[in-house]
Amino acid sequence: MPTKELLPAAVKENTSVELLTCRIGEQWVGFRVQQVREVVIRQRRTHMPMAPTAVAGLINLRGKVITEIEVRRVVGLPDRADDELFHVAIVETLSGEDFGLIVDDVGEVIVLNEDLFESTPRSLDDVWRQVSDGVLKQEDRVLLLVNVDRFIALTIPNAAEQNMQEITLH
Amino acid sequence: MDEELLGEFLTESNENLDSIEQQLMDLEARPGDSDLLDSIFRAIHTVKGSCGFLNLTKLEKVAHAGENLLSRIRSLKYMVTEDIVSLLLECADAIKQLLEGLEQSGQEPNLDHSELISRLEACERLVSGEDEKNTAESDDEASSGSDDSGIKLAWLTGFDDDVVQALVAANIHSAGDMISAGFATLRNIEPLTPADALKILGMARGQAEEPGGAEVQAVSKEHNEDKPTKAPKRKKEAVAEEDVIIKVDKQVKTAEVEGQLATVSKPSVTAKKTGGTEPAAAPQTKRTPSNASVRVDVGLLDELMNQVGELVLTRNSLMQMISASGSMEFMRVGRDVDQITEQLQEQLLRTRMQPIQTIWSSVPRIVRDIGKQLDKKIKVVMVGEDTELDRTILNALKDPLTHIIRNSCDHGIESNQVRLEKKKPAEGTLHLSAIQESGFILITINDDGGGIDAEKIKGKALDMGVLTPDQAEKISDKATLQLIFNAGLSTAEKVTNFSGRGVGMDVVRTEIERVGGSVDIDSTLGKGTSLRIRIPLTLAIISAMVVGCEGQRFAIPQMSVKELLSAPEASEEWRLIAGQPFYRLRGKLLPVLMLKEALDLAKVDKPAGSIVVADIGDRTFGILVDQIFGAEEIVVKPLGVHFQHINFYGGSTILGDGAVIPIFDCNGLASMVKLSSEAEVAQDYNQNVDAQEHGEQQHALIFMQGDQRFVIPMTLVERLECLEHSRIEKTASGEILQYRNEVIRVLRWGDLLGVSPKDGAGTEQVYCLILSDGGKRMCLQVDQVIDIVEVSVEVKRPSDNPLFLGTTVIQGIATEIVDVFEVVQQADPNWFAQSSDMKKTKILFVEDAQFFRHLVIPVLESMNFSIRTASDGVKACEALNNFQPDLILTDIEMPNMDGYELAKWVQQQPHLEGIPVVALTAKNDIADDSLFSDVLSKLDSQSLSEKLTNILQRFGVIGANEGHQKKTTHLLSERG
Repeated sequence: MPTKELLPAAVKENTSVELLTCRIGEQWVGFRVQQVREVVIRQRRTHMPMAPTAVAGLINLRGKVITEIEVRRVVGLPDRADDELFHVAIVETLSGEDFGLIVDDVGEVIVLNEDLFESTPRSLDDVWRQVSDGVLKQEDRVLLLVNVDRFIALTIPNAAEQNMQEITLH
Repeated sequence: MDEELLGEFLTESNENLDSIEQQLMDLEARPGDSDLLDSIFRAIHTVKGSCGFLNLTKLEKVAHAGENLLSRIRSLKYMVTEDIVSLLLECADAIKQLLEGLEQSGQEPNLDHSELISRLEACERLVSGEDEKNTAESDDEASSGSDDSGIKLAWLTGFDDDVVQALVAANIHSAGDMISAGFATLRNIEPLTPADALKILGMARGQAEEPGGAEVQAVSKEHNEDKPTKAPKRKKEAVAEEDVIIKVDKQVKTAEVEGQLATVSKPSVTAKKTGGTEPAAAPQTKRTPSNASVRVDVGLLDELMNQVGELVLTRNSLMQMISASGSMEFMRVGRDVDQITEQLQEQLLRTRMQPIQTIWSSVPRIVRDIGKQLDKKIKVVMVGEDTELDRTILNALKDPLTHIIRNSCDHGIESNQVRLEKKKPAEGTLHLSAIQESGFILITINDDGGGIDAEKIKGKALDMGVLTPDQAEKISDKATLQLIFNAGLSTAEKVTNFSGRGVGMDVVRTEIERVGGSVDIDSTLGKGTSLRIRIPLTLAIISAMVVGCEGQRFAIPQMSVKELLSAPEASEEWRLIAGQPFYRLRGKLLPVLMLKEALDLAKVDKPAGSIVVADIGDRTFGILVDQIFGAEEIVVKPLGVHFQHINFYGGSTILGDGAVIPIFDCNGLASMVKLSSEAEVAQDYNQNVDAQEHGEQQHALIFMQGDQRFVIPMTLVERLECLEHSRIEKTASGEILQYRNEVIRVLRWGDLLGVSPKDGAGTEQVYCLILSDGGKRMCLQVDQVIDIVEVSVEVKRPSDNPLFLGTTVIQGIATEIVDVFEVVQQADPNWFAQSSDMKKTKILFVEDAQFFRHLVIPVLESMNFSIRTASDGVKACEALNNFQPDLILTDIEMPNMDGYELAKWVQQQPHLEGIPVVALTAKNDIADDSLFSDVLSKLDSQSLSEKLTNILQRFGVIGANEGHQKKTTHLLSERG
């Protein structure tokens, strides 16, 4: 598994990006570290009746109430078993609101040159394609760079009615 | 540019401009008011000065042009016209625009006001020209002479011309002259009084200190270059001086007490935005010299609010832990912490409060502008403008308010002509009021315009499919008006510039509800329209009732909670009407929301649990929960974007144990109480009949017979008449009265009771209650009418006498409650039957709930029955002793003797043999149906008459071919 790639200084300044890698099901994704506040373990969750499907519930993070999003549901995977472990990545979106993204596993933080990312292949699942800013073919996996804001937007009702557009690399 | 400097400038200029608008409009009404003019001038002058220093050239140019015009007007004591005021308002607007742009980008926006500037300059020339014309025409040397110095002494306002002339004659041309002349000299000048002299001196002193003396204004456009720089350089002092001048002026003017040239006190700069920082019209300033206040950044206050919110939560946790610990010492300290936090919270909340004047201040201007463009005269009356509201709420109300005002001016208030034709005053009135009512602020916006035509709305609602024809028939006018808040409805006949299509009322309601408020509308066609907005006082921390449902906890804001009820499954108060569960509460039917079903948590077979009775202003309903935990103070945390579309969640909160629980929005929950039109109308009807709008209070009339007091609900009492005794005529079948082209029966209450009237039969005038029901009238003559009161008629003791529902206590005196139906029935069994027919089928209808009696009786009436009623089994038995009906229709659950027992009793009576006893019940199954010839459901009102007819045919009461007249109109149409 590739970790940190050291690049010439000049290039690094322009196009390097720090990612937090996470796994949902079999898919590894990367979230931009700038947007990740922290990662926490399972919290006491309040179920919210009649909430959108993607919403797992609300949690209390040091006095702040945060909406938890079940990523597996968003991408169409079956719910995990009750005793399976998970982590919650607390992310901050452009709107200013924080969300908790429930993922199966959390990997390392990696630094990469953004140029290395290729455009998202059409063969990839619809939902992933919508939120992906690009893919990176690594030795034993394909890492998906996920755009957090687009991901959250998908989970909000009415987002389903929006037209799906080809996601290309910036 | 120095950020801080700019910030200061912006704040001050904005404050100055705020007051200018109102003052300009006041000036329009009172063009001769020189105080106003001074005040307006000074405000613009300050702005202009500061601009120069900060190198804000565009602003300076505009302000300069305005200032020049104002100074010309001032010095020439020109009486401004509406057009000039409009122009000045434009100038103020332009300055505001520039300031806004400056605030946003840090630089002057790229706007061109040269056209406005040239108009201002032209106006200035006009003003001078006219004046020159006037003075040229005048032959009076003295006046032209005084004109000249008049200009110089223009700042000396509030004095007659001859005073000024006298001063000029005494060689006093300037402030300096006055000061050097001194008091002694001045007072000796005819016609100056010592008081005048004092005032003049005071003003002279103030004048001398003012940067940019009056001498400059009228003479030339160029002003001393150093003046602008001097003023803003000592920017704080400049403001101080302005304040100084204001204070000195005002104090001099109001100082009837001589010798009081009050020393100038420290200027007070206030953080609160009030509508007028200088109430120029009133001689008294609102600010006392000792008023100390501080400017605070609003963001800082918000931060403080958050922190205190967190503190409250932590305090809650702490208190829980302390009480668990049991330690006395901890508890003592804990109590202190508790109290201090409480007070801190309270007082901090107050800092966020601002008077509603803040958003009302823009109203006169809006009304004026619209009035001009539509050629309508409208005046604005504001009451309670210093009522305070939380800042956030004020912000949320700003736009809805503007929209409502626009609507009133545009569609509400008629044109002058129309108003005069209608014999209304030509000037329309827009009345705004705000009062505080325990935990709420009630804001009313009322116009005396043409009102809203409920019929039109109904029509529109039908067209748009908002109402079904069925609903449209039954809906009340008041409820129709509320449809205005329904999106897509508009009754404006034409699209106008201002308020769009009259739509946006749905947005108004949404905005108001978003801050936890509610709004409703009332209108009288031809008279006017009123909007009532109810807003909760505090925003962030509220009292809430924590409830449990299916293992989860929820919070319901306490201010919507009216009461709590225990509602076990076995309770007899549960009713099911048209699929909606109701709970009978003190004679009223409360629709109850099955919370666990509404939230999709579980299905409800038999309703059971506790009911939280919620009141959201115009509706009351119940929420069925499993448990009620108790009331708590909670901090409201807004929910994220995923919940914005869910209208029954109003936020979330963290309880003392760290758990997050949702907070309900009762308005949203109310919309989940699905009422079919039938159940809705049934409930409406019930509420109308049984109680007035504000609870179980009813209007009731108290009368006396002998020493005994009686009370009768006003529902059926149409009029109270005092008639000459001779009008009651005797006939073979009883006494009658000719009343309004009708001949109606007269019953004497005394006769019914078997009591003779107190004063003997010889009295000239008698009191008569005209009872009216379904178009039929009768007269009940009583001894003496005491009063009409609004009370909750509560049966304290049931009565044996069928004439009464029981005894109650009103104003401390035992009073018998009259059962009107019984009275009328006893006296005239044919009351409810059509008088033309001779042969009628007799029916005894036994039902304790007044509501169902009112529901079913019209059906029976329509079937041409001769109806007698009894309110329980016992009374039925009594009635059956001397009345033999063809059919007995009875409820099952009744006090004293229920349906089963009644049926059994009937079976045992030989003289009642063969009479079918039919049960009419809301229950789904009954214990022993062998007792009854048939069991009918109360819920199935449609087929009631059919089924009854069938039964009657079956038992041979009526012939097989004799169908009873069956009105096809809906059950309640007659009562609607």
